[in-house]
Amino acid sequence: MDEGTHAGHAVAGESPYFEDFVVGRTFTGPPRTFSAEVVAAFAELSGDRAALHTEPGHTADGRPLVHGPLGLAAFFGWHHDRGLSGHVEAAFDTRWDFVAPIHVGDSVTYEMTVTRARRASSLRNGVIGRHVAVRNHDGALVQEGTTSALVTARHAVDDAEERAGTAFPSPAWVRALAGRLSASEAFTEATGGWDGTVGLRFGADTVLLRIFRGRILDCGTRMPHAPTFVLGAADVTWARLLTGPVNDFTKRAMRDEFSVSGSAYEYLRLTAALTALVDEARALAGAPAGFAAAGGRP
Amino acid sequence: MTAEMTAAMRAEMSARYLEIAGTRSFVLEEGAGTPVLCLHTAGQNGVQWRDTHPALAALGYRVVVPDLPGHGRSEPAPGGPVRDLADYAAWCEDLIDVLGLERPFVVGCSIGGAIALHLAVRRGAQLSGVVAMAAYGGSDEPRPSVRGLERELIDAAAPSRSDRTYLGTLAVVGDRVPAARAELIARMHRREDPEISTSDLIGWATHDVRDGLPSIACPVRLVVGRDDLWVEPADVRATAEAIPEARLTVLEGIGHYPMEEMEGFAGELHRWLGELGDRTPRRVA
Repeated sequence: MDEGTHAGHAVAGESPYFEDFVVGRTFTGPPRTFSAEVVAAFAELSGDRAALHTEPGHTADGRPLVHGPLGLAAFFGWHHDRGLSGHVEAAFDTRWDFVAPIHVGDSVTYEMTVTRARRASSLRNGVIGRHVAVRNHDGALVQEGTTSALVTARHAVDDAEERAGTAFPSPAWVRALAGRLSASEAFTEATGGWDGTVGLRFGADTVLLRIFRGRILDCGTRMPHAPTFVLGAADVTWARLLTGPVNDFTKRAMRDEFSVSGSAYEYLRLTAALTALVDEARALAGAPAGFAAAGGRP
Repeated sequence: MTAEMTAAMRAEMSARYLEIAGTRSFVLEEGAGTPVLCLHTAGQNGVQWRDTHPALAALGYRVVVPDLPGHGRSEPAPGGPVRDLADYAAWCEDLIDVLGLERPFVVGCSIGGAIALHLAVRRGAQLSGVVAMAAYGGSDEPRPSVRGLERELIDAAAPSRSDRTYLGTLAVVGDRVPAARAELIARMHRREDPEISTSDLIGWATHDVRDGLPSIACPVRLVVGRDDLWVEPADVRATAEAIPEARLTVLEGIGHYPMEEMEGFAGELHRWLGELGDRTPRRVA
């Protein structure tokens, strides 16, 4: 992908700081092969010496299975190898799915996308959200996960205002978005006859926009009444939608990357309004003004 | 100005209203030669072939572009909106007979492609060949949901219908198509009758001619765009594998509407028809 062009490598040999992990950036690298020796060593270290991992003939494929946690552990090894770990202070909030088997002898690649960046109140470091896709030599997804890291900041400064555009789903971000939506003719026109509350869910976090006849009355995480509907997706989906080359919201909705709870009817009614909302959120994030809803087209 | 545009400006097309299977039907024709019947997509009409028919006629074909019952300038079918693609296939057979088309090619897209496959199953021995685009013979996992479509038919105020058609069309046009062309296609697709379109989609979701595919007696080419979110390539591949000697073409950077998206589509279609025509049609035993 765009490995090697990141701000993280602006100074040769320097490991990236908090500021260098920009939301939407993707990191890749060369494949990693899990040899019989590596899997045997992991069996010893972890104590999981089950025959499934140590002897042939226990899987449909015949070859022993690589331990799922080795795929996860090797992500952190990959992160270190790529020179990305130099200013990492801690890792936490890690969720990992074992999607398909990895067999002894298989090679995998890691693709890490930055999905969130929030500076800590101390200002001297911040939390980076990452999505990780692990694919085998055939390109099939074998593991997928999310993991956060606390990373030292290069400068301890209060830059919340400059960072608000990609600080979704923070209160500062939704306030900035509400400001843009109030000034968007496409959005105010599409909601000109509407009265309700739209929720936007990023993973487990939801922000709300209270809308009345084209005006945003309030925004934040709590409202007197429940939202009319909530549009939700994984962090990585939002990060790609809001920082990618075009507004491909309709495509992603057709691919079931988004889910809706609450009134599906009102969600459909706001089709044009949500397209305008994504346009504004993209502009806020500094993404190119793509031809609305047209995918991949320059 | 493209060659197709120039040809379109010279177009010597003619149109007629014909009584087909009880429906007063609008049928456009251009050119002379081997007949090619062109079938449009769900809810749309023959205007989707406006760049194709003059250019194809210039290459030596009699191009026949009908509006299916309930679409464009054709009156509705006597029984109301059609929910069974076999009914459209029967209507096409009547059209072929009324016009006296001798061993025509049939080319269709989306439901038009599926109807073309129905025709291949029903009377393949009397066809020169079929090009079925963005279509398959049936699927184990039909989409969209028939229940959702029936709900949409009852709920006359199904919200933002026109916006969803517009944005949904943009989402299934290929990445290779210039933005202005994609915009034109999506804007024109707004001109649909929701009752007719939704009934067409019920026909699309429920059609299944898979049992008849192995005995198709005319050459068939299946065409699918890589960027088509409506059609699973695996379903198209399964259809191609079930039809004796069928060919499969995957179009890079093209979506659900090749005849509207591809510049020079008529030339490509001419090549496909030529390849189909080179083969000796087999007769059913």
